[in-house]
Amino acid sequence: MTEKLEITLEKVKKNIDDYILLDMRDAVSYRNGHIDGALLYKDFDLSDIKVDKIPVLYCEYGEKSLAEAEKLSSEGINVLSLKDGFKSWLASCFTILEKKELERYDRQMILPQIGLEGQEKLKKASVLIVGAGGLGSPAALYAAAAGIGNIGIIDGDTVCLHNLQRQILHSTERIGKNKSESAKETLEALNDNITVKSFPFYLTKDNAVEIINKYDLVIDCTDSTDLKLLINDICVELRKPFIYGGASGLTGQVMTCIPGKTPCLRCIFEDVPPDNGCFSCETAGILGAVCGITGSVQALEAVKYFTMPSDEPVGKMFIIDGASLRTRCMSLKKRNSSCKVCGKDH
Amino acid sequence: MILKNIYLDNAASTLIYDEAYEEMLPLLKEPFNPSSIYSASQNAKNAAACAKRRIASLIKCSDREIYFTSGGTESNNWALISAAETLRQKGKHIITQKTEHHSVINTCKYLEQNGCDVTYLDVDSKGVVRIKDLLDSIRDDTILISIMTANNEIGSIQPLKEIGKIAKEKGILFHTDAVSACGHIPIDVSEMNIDMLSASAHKFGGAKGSGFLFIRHGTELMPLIHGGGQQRGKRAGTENVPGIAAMGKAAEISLERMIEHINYETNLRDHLIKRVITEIPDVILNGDTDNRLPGNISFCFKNADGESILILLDRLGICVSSGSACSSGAGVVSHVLKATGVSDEDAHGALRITLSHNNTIDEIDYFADELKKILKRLRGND
Repeated sequence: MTEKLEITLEKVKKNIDDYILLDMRDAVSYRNGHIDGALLYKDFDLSDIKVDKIPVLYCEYGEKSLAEAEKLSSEGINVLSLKDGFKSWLASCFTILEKKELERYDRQMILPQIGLEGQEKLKKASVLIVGAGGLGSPAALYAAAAGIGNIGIIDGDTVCLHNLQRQILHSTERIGKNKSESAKETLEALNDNITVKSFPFYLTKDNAVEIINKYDLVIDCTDSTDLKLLINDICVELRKPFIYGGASGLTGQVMTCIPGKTPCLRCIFEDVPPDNGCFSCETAGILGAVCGITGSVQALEAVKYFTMPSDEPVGKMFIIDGASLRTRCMSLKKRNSSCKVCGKDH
Repeated sequence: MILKNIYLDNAASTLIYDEAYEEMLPLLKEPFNPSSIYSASQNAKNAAACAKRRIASLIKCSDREIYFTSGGTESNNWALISAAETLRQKGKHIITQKTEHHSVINTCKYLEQNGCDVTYLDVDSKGVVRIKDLLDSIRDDTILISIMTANNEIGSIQPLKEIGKIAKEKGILFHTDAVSACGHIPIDVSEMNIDMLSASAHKFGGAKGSGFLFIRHGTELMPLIHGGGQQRGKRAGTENVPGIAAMGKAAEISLERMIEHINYETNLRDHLIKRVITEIPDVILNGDTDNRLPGNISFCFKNADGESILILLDRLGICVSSGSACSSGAGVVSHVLKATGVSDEDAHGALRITLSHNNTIDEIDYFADELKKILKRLRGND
């Protein structure tokens, strides 16, 4: 009943000729600013309404207008209440997004899960991408393209010729350049509405806390088990969410970890496996498109973390096999209470 | 761009001091009732006693004169209703003033319905009562003067010392609602001849849900809340020990750092006032330039709605209040601004900014920059 009486500003705007907006606030507030075309409710006779127009009441926040709409509809008068009231109109006129940003992100803002609100959240968000290589390339490109407002990228390595079959942040002319600096250049060229900071050195035990603390979320695009566990341990300690990713050969995997809520990496892999248990790109080989899929899923997870928190995957590892094109979303056991990093005793 | 929350609504509630938070935590967990006899409950008893001493030092009274309540509203209700009842034989006239908090104004209205006469004194354009008006309003049957220490919306500080002196000379009970002032500016109940003082912990770095009423020794006051014999039979109900402990610690810290905080907040305040007045056209500073709470700023922006400014600031993570928190959403113009002579029209553009020692100059400058942009757009000059 109540829901049926509420209408969103977007819907009103779409078919503006079907509705007549009525401002319930007092005359001074109305004079200080009202929704375009709205009339003062006090001066309006509802019985006067033309049959083809539906009156939409609004107040400051949409509460009083809803109560009024309920009252009127119980008397048999057909009226609606504007959801979130004048506030929603103000928000749409005074967005923190610039005009060119509204155009840039238009196609994703059409999605009900993103909308204006989600896009503003992305603009306010900050993400640290650790590693500007095979996974970091697609992750950073899509994060930047989607409008995550503040991106940090850390990598101490330099661009080599054999990186370029998968590390699409870089180009032939950048060979010899630091990867994080090359990444910054590419990302800024892609999107000049965001801030990119490069850290041209490796993440270590000594600098991790200070750097990670500056960001809302970490995307782990490293290729070293030691680093992955370091990111895991620091993020758990700082209660910072991170998105683990790994790719090797034709397979890739991604897991979103929200400390305190989901299992951490140490709940699954207790420690660094012995040498022969780990494959590197050098020894096992890697196909660029597999990095592309895996890093893109990481970027997707990051965008979802900020805009659709209810869709957070809780403790699931996404695995793709590029050979068979089979994917799996493996449910992981609950947090390991004896985990040496996030368990109860720690 | 700063995108974290900037909290500029410290008159609504303050951030609890870390030390106060630490003090209350263990007490939240333990089962002991301070009224129990066994030794295990001694800790709870001691915590409350210690808080009393700390609060007593803050307002310069004896710890036996402090009674714990659930907050400012209860303290004000208790002081006013019980004074009226206790002194019914003596008279029925109460003097208060027009910019009091609703917990005083509405309690007075209740008392009027129950046979009391209440005089609501006017204030001047700075929000301060005139001593002459007070003297003129005193009658033979005046039993109580209740004037707030400082105003929660516009920060004006009342001349308590002069009022207290008059009340003492005339033998009238003097109550002050110090919710906005306690812990922020020096208060001395002896020097100011205050008989009853209300305060609330979460306004000075304590936790919500606890407050106190100071009742001068020798002042007969019936209990408002009846029940067991807690607090020497004056206020029944098991004490909120964790809240009380936090309040005590917050009182101690507030006293220790008062001068430091006053200087810091006053500098921030005057910097912001100067920027807004010089950079934004058509703005009025409500209240006085000097005689105001260190952290309080109240403006009226012409041709703009305070509520709209608030909504737009909120989108940037900046928390302020339009008019007063108690009346927002109610859609009525602030009674305080009205009393100081602000027109209804201008009162629509009211915005209250209340600072604390936790705010920084960078936050203030960011706020001023954004406020400027918002007003330009709201007024259609952009």
